[in-house]
Amino acid sequence: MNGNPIIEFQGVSISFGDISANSEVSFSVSAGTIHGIIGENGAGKSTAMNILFGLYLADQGKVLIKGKPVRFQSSIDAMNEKIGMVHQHFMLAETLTALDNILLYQKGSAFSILRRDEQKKHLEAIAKRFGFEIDFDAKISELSVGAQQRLEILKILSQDSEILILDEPTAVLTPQEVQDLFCNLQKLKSEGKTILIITHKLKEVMSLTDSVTVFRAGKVITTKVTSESNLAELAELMVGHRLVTPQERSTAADSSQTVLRVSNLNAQMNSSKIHDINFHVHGKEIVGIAGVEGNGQDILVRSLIDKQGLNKKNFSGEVSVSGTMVSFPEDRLRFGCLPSRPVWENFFLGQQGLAKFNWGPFIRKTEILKSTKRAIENYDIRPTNEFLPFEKLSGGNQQKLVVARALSQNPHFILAAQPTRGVDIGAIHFIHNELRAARDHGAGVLLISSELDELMTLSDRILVLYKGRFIAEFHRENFSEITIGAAMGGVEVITKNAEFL
Amino acid sequence: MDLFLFFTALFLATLRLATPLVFASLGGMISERSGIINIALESFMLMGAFVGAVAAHYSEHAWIGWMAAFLGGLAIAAVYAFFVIELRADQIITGMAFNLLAMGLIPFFSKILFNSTGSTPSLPLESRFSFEPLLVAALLVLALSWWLKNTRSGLWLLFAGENPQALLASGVSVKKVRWAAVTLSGGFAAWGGASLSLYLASSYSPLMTGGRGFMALASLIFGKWRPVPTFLACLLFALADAIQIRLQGVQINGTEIPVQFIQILPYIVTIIALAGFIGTSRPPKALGKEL
Amino acid sequence: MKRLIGLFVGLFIALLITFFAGENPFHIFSILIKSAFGSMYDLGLTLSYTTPLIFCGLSVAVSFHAGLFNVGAEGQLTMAAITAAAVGILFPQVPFPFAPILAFTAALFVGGFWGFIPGWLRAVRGSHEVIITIMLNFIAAGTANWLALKVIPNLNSQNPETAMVSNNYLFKDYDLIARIFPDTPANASFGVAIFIAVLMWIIIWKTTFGFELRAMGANSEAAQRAGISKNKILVLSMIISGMLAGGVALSEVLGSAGQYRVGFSPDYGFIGIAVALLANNNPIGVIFAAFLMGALHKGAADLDMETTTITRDFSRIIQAFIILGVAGQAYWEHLRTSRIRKN
Repeated sequence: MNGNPIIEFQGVSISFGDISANSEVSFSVSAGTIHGIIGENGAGKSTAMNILFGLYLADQGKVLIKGKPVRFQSSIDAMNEKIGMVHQHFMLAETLTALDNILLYQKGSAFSILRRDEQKKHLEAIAKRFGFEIDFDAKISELSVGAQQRLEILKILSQDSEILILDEPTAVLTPQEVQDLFCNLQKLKSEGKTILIITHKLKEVMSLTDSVTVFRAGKVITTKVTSESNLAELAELMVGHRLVTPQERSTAADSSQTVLRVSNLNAQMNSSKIHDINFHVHGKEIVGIAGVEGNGQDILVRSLIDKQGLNKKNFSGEVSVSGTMVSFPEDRLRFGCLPSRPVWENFFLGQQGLAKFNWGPFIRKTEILKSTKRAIENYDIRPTNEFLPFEKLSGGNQQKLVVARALSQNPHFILAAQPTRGVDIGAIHFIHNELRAARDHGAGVLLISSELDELMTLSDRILVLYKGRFIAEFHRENFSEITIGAAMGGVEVITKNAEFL
Repeated sequence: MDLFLFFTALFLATLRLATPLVFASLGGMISERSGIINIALESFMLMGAFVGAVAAHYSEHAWIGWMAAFLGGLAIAAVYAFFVIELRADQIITGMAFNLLAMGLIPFFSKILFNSTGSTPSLPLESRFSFEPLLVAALLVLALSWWLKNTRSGLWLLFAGENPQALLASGVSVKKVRWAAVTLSGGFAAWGGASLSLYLASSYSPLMTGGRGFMALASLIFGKWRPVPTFLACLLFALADAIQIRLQGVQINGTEIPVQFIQILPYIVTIIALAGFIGTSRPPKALGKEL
Repeated sequence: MKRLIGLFVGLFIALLITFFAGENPFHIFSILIKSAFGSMYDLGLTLSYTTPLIFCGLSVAVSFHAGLFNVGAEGQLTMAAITAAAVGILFPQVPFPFAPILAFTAALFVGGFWGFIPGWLRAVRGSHEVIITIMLNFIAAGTANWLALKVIPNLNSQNPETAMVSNNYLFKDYDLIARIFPDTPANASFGVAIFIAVLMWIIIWKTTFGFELRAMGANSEAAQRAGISKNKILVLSMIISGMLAGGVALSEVLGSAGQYRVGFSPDYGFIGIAVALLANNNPIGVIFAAFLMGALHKGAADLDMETTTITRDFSRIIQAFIILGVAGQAYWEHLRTSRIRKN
């Protein structure tokens, strides 16, 4: 394991404004290994990798590649040193073909002619050698997420890169696709490539990597040989303190009340479809929707809260909600707020129809400000300034405001789509507790999340969405990561207590 | 036989009238494909029409006017590019400001050069075109559609508009690609203007573009930002224009259709085309978005 | 404040251009000021430009608040003005207090309809309002010309204009502002414009509808999620926009000329864009911005006579540079807010 270090970080620091993103980061990676970079959101792992890939320039410290100090001004410099990176968000143009997306990365003068046939043969040879099969003539929008990721890796391989950086590669994959990816990565390792994988999923670190570097609060805590460590130890190193296990729920679902009933729902928008959706949510119940992103979650959300943009002919079935309904949007900046407007207006958004905030056609600003202040206090939203533009709040505080706005209406039904995406761990706990509290007060919750852990801690039942259909249902006592994971990958599971509707 | 002559004449008139639209919409196409909205096309056309007419007047040569128009278009478009790419000014508002600017600057220069804010001096037949711009337009359609499909810079243009981050990651400057696209769009749109003043008419007259810059944008949307379909859309609008000219003075049951109504025909066709078909047309993904 | 810097930068560049034409920019500037405010007569003319600019500035500002860009104020005011004239000519017997009200209501209705078309097309077909409104401007001009020249022409004149409206439609005798500024087209509609500006300020900032409108402009997807109907806001905001532009019929037809004159508007609808931008879309700010642009426009008209090279089109250059000056400010905003990632 103590081969020549191919990458060395020596006391690297970088700060953005007042925030120190990396301080005194030092670690090394041996050639021909798979190296995990782990840490929570905001721990500084992506920043360090972005320095390695030339996207940021370090304020202090040195980066050495094969013992030679380098100072990349841009990703081009990094690519010239045979470093490639697959970002979390793929850099692909959806309307163009897979081939064109790779051709973009080949050098040549502006007016050189693209020899597509020749290049395609060449790339197919590379793809075959590493076991990456891709339809080069397909448009990106026609490829599965897994295939898009293979294409991104192939893009790097076609440039003879020796070091591959993968940023959260499994976030968008089904368990089966994750297996394939890991298999391929092992193959690349055996070809002598060095692979860095950024992740916060510890099980993957254990099963895949040779060694691992743990980041916390901008610093490197330690670098370990994976086989000499274990899950619990890594988790503790990552978080810094032992996690509290979620409390078991005390009350049972109130089956006398149905807050949401969906029958025979079929809907379609762009390329996204759902078929024959039947389910219900009781009061005092949290129902989780599991599934890899892109299996119809977006259209399901749309069908439930706003049917605008859905053509009548593209929508059939019945959705009935009893009582007040609120929602946390899956993408708060896009769907949940007016970024440039002050906090109080954002608090008012969605409640503009409520009688207590209106006086005839006029808004009652003093009332709104009062409620906003109360929410800021109760939910510990910082800074405590109701006139600050929403976009100036941190992600966690933004989401707290969104949650505060929704829950202050004492809803009967809560649609929580990705309620903790992109927020820090403190806010995650806070939001989970608020959801449990709302449930205990009698609300029914529909929880849509891509985090299986979140679904399993909160839900009473989990429905699995695959290619626009519910293919499985699990009750709390039967929750198992393996079976739910299999269902997310399309394996139909017939459970004894499956009771659709 | 009469009918045959009528349709031949109408067809030829359509081709002639399509010329300015084709240039402008191709200019708009490369700008918008690179991700920059181009509401300023109208001003580029006006500039081209004016500069072309002035240069042809002094040099007594149509081709010199043609090249001067191109340079004039490059120049004004470069200023536009500076505002929207470097200063990140709102593309639609800036575009409208340029349209105002052209309407103000041209009479200003015209007054200095000819001591009049009206039309420029009429050009003699030998310093005008008889068919050449039409040919150039047709060649440009073919050349651009080949270039877009087969060259590396064509691929860069598509990426600049579809996923600029990817282009940046590949080591190509998105800004440079957009600068090139926007300035070139000015040159092409100016040719559209010059084909008005040097080919369809015999001088520059105030506001002679009459909204053609906007019709070019409409054809672009109608043609789904692709060269050949855009060209066909231009033909449709030009046909409306040709019919409009034909109908002037025509009597139906002894009464003349009011000329004002005939003149608004192309504008109505544009609205119908835009309202009727836009649902199926998808703009480049990063169009109008900041880097 | 930033807007004022944009204004000065724009004005400065425009004046600089006169230097290249061999004029003295200071001289030009002094003419601009003197001709705008030099006498009661000058001030009256400035106010008479200010009034339609308030209407158009409000029209553009409301559309901006809803996230739309109404460049069709010119067509909307044209249709409203010809409507007011047509009503005044075709129904001469309507008694006084009702007559101007009838004509104005009809004008607002038609102006609103001319705004409804692009709003509705945007809502149901997604057609871009800029192109549609530009086309509608041409269509409005053609239609109004036809009406003015063929249907209700002034038979006693060679000028392209309609006949005079019946006297019952004019409120000159009760017009205090017209008395302060005799011999100028300034009239009571200036007061109406200010009243409407205040009303719009209340609607935009103090009502639920105004909030919904602004929410749609700030983030249309979030506004829809919050239960605000996109189609409703798009259509209503464009109708209001069109009606506001239609207010020009009051000042130009009923308040002063008493008829529709072809080409009466020096592109008020487009100057309204500069007014709205300068005012940061604040309805109260629109009053001041309109006054400023009115003064510049009046000044530019006089440059035509006072200098050899500068024509009335210079007004457009000033407007364009002011818009660019304000629009270019986005850059400083961007510099201020973006973190500088690379040293």
